Amino acid sequence: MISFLLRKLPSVAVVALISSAIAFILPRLAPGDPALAIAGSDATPEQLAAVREQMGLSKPLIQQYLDWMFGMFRGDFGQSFIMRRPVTTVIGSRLESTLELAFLAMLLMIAIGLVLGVLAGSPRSKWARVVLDIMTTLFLATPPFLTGLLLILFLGIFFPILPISGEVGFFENPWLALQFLILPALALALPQAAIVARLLQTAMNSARGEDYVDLAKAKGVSPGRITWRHVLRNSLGTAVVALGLRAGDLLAGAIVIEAIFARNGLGSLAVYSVQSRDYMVLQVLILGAVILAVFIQLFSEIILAALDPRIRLES
Amino acid sequence: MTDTAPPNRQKARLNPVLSRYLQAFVMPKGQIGLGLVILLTALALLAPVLFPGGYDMQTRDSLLPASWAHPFGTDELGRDIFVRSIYGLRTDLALAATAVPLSMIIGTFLGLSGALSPRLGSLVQRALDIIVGFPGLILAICVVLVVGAGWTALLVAIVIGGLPGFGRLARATFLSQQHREYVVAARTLGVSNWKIMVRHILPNAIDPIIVQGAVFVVAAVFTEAALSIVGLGLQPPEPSLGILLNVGMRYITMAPFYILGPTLILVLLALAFSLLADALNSTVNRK
Amino acid sequence: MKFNVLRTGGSFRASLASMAIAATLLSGTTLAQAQEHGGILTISQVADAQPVALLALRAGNTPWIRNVFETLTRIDPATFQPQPVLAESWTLAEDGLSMTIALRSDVTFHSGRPMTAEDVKFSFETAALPESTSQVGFIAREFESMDVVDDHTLNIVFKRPLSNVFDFFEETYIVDRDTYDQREDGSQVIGTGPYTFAEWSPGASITLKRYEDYRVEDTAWFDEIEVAIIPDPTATIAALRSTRTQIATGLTPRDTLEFTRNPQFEVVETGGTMYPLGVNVGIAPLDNKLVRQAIAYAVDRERINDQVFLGTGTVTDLFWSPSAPGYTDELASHYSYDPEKAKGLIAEAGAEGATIPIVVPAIPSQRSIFEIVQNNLREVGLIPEAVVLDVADFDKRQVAGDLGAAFLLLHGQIGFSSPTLLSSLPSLREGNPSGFWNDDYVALREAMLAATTPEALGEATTALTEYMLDEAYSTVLVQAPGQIVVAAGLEGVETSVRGGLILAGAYEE
Repeated sequence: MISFLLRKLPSVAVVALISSAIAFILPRLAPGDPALAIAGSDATPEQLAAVREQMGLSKPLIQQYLDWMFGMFRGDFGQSFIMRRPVTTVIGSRLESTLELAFLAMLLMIAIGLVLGVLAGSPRSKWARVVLDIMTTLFLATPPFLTGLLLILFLGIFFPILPISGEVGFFENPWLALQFLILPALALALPQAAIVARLLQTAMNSARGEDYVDLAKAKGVSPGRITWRHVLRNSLGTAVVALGLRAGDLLAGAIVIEAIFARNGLGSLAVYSVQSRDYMVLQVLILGAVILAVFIQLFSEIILAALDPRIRLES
Repeated sequence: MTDTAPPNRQKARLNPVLSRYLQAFVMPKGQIGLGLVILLTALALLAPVLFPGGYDMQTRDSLLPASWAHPFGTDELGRDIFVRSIYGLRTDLALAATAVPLSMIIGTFLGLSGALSPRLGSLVQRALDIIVGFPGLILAICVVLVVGAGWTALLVAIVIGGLPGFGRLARATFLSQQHREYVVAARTLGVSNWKIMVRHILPNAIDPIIVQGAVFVVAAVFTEAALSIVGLGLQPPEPSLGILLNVGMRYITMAPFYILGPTLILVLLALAFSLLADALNSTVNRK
Repeated sequence: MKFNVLRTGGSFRASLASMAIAATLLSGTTLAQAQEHGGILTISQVADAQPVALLALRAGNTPWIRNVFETLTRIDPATFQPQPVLAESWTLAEDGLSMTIALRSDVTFHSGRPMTAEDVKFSFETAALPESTSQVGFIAREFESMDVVDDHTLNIVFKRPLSNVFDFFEETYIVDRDTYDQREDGSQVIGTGPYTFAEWSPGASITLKRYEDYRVEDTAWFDEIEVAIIPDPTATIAALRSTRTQIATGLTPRDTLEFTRNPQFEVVETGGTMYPLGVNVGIAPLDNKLVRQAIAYAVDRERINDQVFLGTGTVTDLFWSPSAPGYTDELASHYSYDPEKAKGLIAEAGAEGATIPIVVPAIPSQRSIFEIVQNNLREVGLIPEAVVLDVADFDKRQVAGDLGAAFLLLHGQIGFSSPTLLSSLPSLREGNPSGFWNDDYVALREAMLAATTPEALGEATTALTEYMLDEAYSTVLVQAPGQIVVAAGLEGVETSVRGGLILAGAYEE
């Protein structure tokens, strides 16, 4: 495994380097100007020019890029143009919100995924099966933001049970924080839970065909016990891997969910940095996301290989 | 003589493929999916006939509640939200109908490019990995900003967003087929790489890619909707489902049907194409 | 006369009766409510604070800045007369070319240092710098010189009579020259107001604390003012309803609608935004005055006000405040909705079927306005096309004056005097996106700037307005006030003419 990682290292480095260049260039290609967030929309051209000068935006692009890259090796990720403090501080202050959301969504995803998967992977009547199937398909097909809108409509407006917008820090007031978290987390979790359920169902169906299940049946073990003790146990491996892989998707889905539920997390920070052209924050967010995705990819290859000896780790 | 042979052979090859796909519609899943797709497409296509008044009939009756005359109520400018939703569906389906095939073709080609040259293949793979790494919406937002909000930008964003999905499927087929006897044999016989790619590997990749295509229709529509929610989608006054959601969000407490209507249509659309993809998937895998 | 401007008994009772604003600023001076003060007041704002741009008008600063900083004078929102704050009195020379200002001697910065005329001079000089991006900085560039006569006397010499110098005073906070450089990250935001800027968590909140050594003891009622930054209107409303916040700022009429009928809340209108439709006079067919006039007649302003602003706005085609000298209803309704007349003008100009691309920023209200305008222009035989730009792109092009053939703008500058607006509004100033600048226009503008009496200003304004309406290069569609929602039980909340919150006199029942 170590040698596998070592072999992968150069290509990871190349991906990171290219991503850093894209993360640097792409936002800057867009028309607009971070100096405007400081200068204001009714600034005169000379006011804007003065602000640009002060912000160091008049430096050549390549120099700005190199400054950023070398800074990162020293642990300096740059200064936010708009908020005037280190990018790491800015990102750090938004991290808690997104992590809380992702964590609760993860819990919900596991719980709902397991329940749906076990229900679908156990013997049912034909109609129960069709209903379960359509339900899973529906969850699978409906992206978090639509689920979110429906949850807002039904649990926030038609039956105003839960708050639909805003947030409270978990360590400030856990009970209130949970109330704010539950709807967005549920919206994020449902499609992922459906994926987990699907995988679990498939694994259970194939496990059911194994000899030891027939043996257990022959010995007169109750169907419920067969499902729980024999089939599920041997199917969890797949589900666990699926869970890990979906963690990245949870973070990606957070962007729109945070917009809809008005949460101040990394997703809304990304959107805000785009709108205000705060390149310094945006480029770090993009680069971080790409590197995270690369590592999740690597990680999943390793785990899959560990679970299935037929897969050999190749570059 | 010789010119009649190819059509025959093709027919012989096509027919089982078609009938295999048709089997998908024997299952209730496939039937429901297909039925919904036909219904929604028909509504979208016939919108100008069904609602000849068009989508921009402004009146002074702002934000009327849902009623028989206006199933989803009226919007802030007094326009019927149901009519606008149907026209929005039309916009979204048209967008998907353009973007999905484009993304499918380019993505498949990129995925198979390993057949032309292994180095090109792994280079493309790396590039697709980078696209995957971009947080979904941020990539789309960047594209929109660079190209300028509108139809073209959305098209580009959706096509690029779909490339990794199609590319990976095609590459998986390529990797599994490249050492098969017939490919090796063709190669030793001196068949050109291009021909090997198109004639031998591509047919094996088609099935999963068609299924992925059905899945991606939904993703395309959702890209539009998500971008519009952030405010960078299509331009007014032509409605899209995303624009309706974007504007409707502001009236969510006063007029919940403003959001509920388009949301339901989006859910139906998602359900339709997912059921279809599911059904296709299970028949295709059964072989 | 001595002014203990805020926290006065008379002011309390008046506010109880009418929550309203600073007409009550100047009543008697007994210190009634010295007992029971304390606690935390929580208000919400939509945008994040921008301490870097202290001297410019910013949505993220407006709700809190007037509690941390003070100005020389404040314009009374009811009478539009300047009232003393840090200045005790001022004398304008006979020729209108110089002004001597006597400052209060008991003012200290939050750092403890007494404020002197040097600080005022520094603040004014800084505001004049382009990087300060002050909307009124151009007024300070009309200062010939500033002389510090003694610690509490400043003499300013003007290059020419400046009728709008109080707009400059109104918007220019007196900053501490020792720490001004360290304001950017919020660590040293030092003013002279009754509350100090204690902490800033970007994107989340700002904490203001009572300034214990304020010159009038017990001015600040609350121990702390918490400014929650809540960008989303739904969340803002939810926070207000759940009593997590007592004041909400930055809401639209649609958001505040439910509060106008609720006795638990008071909706205060202050400051606001004007929404003009501009066209570029250099691009065909808009180079034809008739087409421009036709467009101005074609737009249904009443419907925009009713459907986009729920009737809270003022339907007018003028940039000036309805209380400004020279503003008449006749001029304001010059371009009332008349599609037939518009059709006739277009036919006369031979511009039927002309395509008009209209640049619109991706802002919800602008989008709705555009849809109505588009509908209106179609009715009269033009073909309008939307060019939606995201806000950063739009702003950049607005600054550069490069917005194409036609454009929907918004200027949050309601409350400035007409002579100031002439130079501060992107739609009207030199380099405007309409490309409109000629000798007649310059002469009429100069006449307005030179006016020193209200009568002269009124005449000059009328003359310029008639010319502007005839040329129709940019006409306002609607002027919409800013809205602040205040929970019942909170009294003495005041606002400045430009929409700033003044909480010095605020207290809890």
